[in-house]
Amino acid sequence: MENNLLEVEKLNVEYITDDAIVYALNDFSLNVKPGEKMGLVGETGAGKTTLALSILRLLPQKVGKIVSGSIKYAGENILEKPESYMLSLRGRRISMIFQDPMTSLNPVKTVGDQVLEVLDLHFPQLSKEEKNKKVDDMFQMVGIPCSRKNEYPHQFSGGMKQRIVIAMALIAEPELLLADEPTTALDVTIQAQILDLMKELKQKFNSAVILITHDLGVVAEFCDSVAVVYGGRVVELGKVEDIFLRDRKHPYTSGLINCIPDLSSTTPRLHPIPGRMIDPRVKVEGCCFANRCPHCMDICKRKTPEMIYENGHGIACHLFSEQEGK
Amino acid sequence: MKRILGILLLVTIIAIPCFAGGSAESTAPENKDEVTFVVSGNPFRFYHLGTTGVGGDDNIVLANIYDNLLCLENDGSLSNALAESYTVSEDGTLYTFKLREGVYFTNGVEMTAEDVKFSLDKGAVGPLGGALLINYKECRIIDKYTVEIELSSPYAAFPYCLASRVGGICCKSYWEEVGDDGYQDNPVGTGPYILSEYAANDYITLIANENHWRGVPAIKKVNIELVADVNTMILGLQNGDYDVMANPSVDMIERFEKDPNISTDITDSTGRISLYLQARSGITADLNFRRAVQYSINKEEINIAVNNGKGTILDIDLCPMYSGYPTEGVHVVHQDVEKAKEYLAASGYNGEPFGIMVQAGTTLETAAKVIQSQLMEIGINCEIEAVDNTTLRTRDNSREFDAYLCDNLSSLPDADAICGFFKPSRFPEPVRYPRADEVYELSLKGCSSPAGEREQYYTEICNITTDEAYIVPLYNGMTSIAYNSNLEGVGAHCLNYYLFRYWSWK
Amino acid sequence: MNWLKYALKRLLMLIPVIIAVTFVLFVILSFAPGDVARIILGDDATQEQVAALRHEMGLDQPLLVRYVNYMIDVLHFDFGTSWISGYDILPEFARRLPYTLLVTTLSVLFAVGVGIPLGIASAIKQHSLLDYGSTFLVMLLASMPAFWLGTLCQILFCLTLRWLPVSGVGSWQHYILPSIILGASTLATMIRMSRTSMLDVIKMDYIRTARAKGASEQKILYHHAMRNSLIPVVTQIGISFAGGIGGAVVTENIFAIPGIGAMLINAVKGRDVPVVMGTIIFVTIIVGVINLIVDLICAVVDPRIDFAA
Repeated sequence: MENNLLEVEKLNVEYITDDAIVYALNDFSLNVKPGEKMGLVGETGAGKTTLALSILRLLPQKVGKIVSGSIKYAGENILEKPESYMLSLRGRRISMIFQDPMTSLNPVKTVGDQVLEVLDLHFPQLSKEEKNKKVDDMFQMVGIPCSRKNEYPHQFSGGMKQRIVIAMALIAEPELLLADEPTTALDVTIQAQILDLMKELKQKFNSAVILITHDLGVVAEFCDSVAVVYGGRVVELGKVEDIFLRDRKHPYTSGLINCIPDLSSTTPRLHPIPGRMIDPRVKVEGCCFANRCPHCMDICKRKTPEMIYENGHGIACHLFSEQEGK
Repeated sequence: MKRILGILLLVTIIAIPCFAGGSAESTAPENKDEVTFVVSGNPFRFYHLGTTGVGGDDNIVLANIYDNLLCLENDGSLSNALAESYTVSEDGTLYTFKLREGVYFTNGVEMTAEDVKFSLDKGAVGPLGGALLINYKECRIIDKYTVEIELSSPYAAFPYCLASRVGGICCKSYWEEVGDDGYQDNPVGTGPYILSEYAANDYITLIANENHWRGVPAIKKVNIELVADVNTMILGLQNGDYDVMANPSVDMIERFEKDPNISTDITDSTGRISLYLQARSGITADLNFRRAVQYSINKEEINIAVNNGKGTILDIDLCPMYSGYPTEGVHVVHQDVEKAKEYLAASGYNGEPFGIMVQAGTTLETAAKVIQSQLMEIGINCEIEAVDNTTLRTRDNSREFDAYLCDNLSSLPDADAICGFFKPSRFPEPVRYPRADEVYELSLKGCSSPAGEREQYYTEICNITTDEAYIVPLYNGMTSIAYNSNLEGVGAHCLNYYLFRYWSWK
Repeated sequence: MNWLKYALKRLLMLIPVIIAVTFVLFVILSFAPGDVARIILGDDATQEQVAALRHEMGLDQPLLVRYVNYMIDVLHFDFGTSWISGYDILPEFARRLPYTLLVTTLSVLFAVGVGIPLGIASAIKQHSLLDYGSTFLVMLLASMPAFWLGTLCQILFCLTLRWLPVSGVGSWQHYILPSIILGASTLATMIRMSRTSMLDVIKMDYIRTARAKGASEQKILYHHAMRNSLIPVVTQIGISFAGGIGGAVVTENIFAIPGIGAMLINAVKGRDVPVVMGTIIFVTIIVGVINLIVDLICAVVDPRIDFAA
């Protein structure tokens, strides 16, 4: 569309192991505008992290392979660029926050040094004082006292470590931030704190964000738009209101929302989605959700549904293509 | 804080190798008056008149820093050393020695009869006296350069006693100053060399005695290196790091013979390689069993396997070079497999293991293996017990073995050496041989009879050991030496004295 | 100064260790066959003379008495004299220690200098020719016993090529072969350990974070991975060094190096109890100190280690 920051088009990514090939992403397509806060929702194994790693081309070397498709960042197809180009992107224009703060930091370097390193890598022209000032400012912004700059990661709690990771990711003021389940590993109260921090920083920095999560509540609080991922592809895409409030939904999305326990209801039972996700080692014919869908039809088993848009709300389901498209 | 610790550690680590590293020994290029002699033993006693005595290894140093009245040469003959001449009385009990004049100890004191009497008296009462100064009764000073030695009874091999390691002449006045300990720390003798440096189990340095009565020896400095590993010695000799190597084995000698840079010498030693059977307990207490062992052994085979056929086979447990060696009336046993089997059947042997004890890592292990195969042919379940030196000697003393295959190197080349195992002082009851008293009586007679008369006693003794199958003699021991072909005068010595004064570079 | 207190505590803890070790050793040695008095006097001496010497040496007293007497002497820094050769034990040990220290140090430096880079390179280029090659080298070195490898090298380098001297300690060339032979097994361990450690570290999350920051592979290797992967290796270096002090016996034997290993083995063969005891006490102390130094080094390298605990 018009000046998308990120355009992922029909991306196919495979993991090649000794036993079998895992089809992690299948014709995955996604666009992100500058400044857009997009949530990427889906179960474990849906391919969310794979997407993030693919954007940065950080897939495990021997095992992960981008088979086909394109990723355009700021108009350039970064799949064709050399490694040196990627080095200039990573940490500077596209940052990533990983899931587990406990292991994301180098235990033998001070936290100050680790945040400073981003500046050393990408802004070598700055003087030492300037860099230190920036680091101090960043620490302040994420709520860590600057006096603790020279301490080591093991001296901080999980929540504080995640703040440091966020500081590292944002200090270069990137255009795109990939946040892979940043609050999943934290307990609930800390989760809330981190989320608040992120919302605060949302105001100060204008980065686009792809927030990967399986927690719909987080999406609702933070994101502008949502992409629902299942079986390595995007099955629904749209604004937060569209996804949560409208009745028109992909059956999977409905299932997800129904999963949320309702404290006001009297029935004690939960409503999970029956069945299990298909083995990603098998290339699926037809819709990937077919085996679990309550509305499964004949055509679902034969033909993979295309994404059909209505006012910017896209759903990939034969239910709707029958009604709308034709 | 961690910074300080880190720096401290760094300094420590750098410091360790800096103050490590020993003093460099001189690696001056080989001068034409220096020799490096490599040997595997550990000589550490340089004074023979103390309370701990001296061992065979110590001869390397003793034979070069002291002189005896008589010197034992390479081939077992005796030459006059501090004795210019001597006479023996008719009945063989009185020896009169005329001493060489103008001989000085390394501390400047002249050697006189006082020193001779002092040395012999002290040696006789020490731990070695009983074994090496046989029948010594008294030494009388006749004048400054004459002594008279009286024996309790005539002993034909007495001159050999004076040439043994207990017979080195020490300086009486020096001993009165420093005592036994001082003498050991800083020995003083009249010999061609002086002890210069000593590091335990490492090296010994001897330097030439400028005032030696024979004249200054050609080799001014002998570096004796004590190396435990045989391969290292061989390689070192071949690549020139060492000049002389002591006691290479027979196959090494054959290898060296092909190398033009290395010369060798081999000679009979004063030792016998024999199989000693224990006769007081176990299966070997049975005479029939012992005879079965005796008759099944093929000595030629053993000689070929161990010595490539070069050894001298022995019929009795004595070396032909011994004084008093009996030649007439001696019983000899040759291999007879049929007889052996008969004796074995008569013995009531039931397949019990028969152990041959031998020192591990020596050529005797090979000999033991040959014997093992010979015994197994007649049906004896023979095992080899290869043990280390210390265990060997312990078990030897307590006679805890069935059979002991050893190289019996005798300090005195005298026929009486065969009686070593029968003397009550050496092996008391209950480990002695059954007929030990008989043998001991004969030994006393042999040690008090003149030459010509004494042989008959040794004939009897040998026959007892043969008839009772106490001992199965195999072959005469050999000593060898390998050396840089540019050296002269280097020879193997029957008792492993290495007489450095004969050595010189071409 | 937490580490100072810790160091002192560790050194004090050596005392019970020494007592335990020496007592067990003393008991074992007293059961070993071999009559020292007989060995000293030789086969020609009489039984009475042997008995007299035993009495003089105090060998006829009960074990505990002998042990306590010995330990009391040790507290006065009197380690006695060798039963067999009569030398003073402490000065002799001091004379020999530098040789063993030097050979061990050189062997560790060799193993570390060659092994760690090789191991790390193998980890980075996993499954390459270099990787398989170094794995093969490790297996080869681990299977070759020192006495065999030592003699083989002697034949090749000293006899055939005449590059190096066969034995002894006269010059720096004398130390080359013994260091390599002694270091061979440590080299194998170093290669293997640093390879494994690096492989583990490279898979760590913080490495992924570093990549996401835009650090090049080289930067990641030297600035992020190296120090982390070396932490377990440092401990291993300490173990190897300590092992080398007492365990260089075979190497010292082959190359005729007058070190502590040779002293110990000769003493054991000759049942020279004071030398064995003294040497073991010294070696225990040295090993204890080395382990302490290694632990302190670990603490410097790894900030997570804190002695206050």
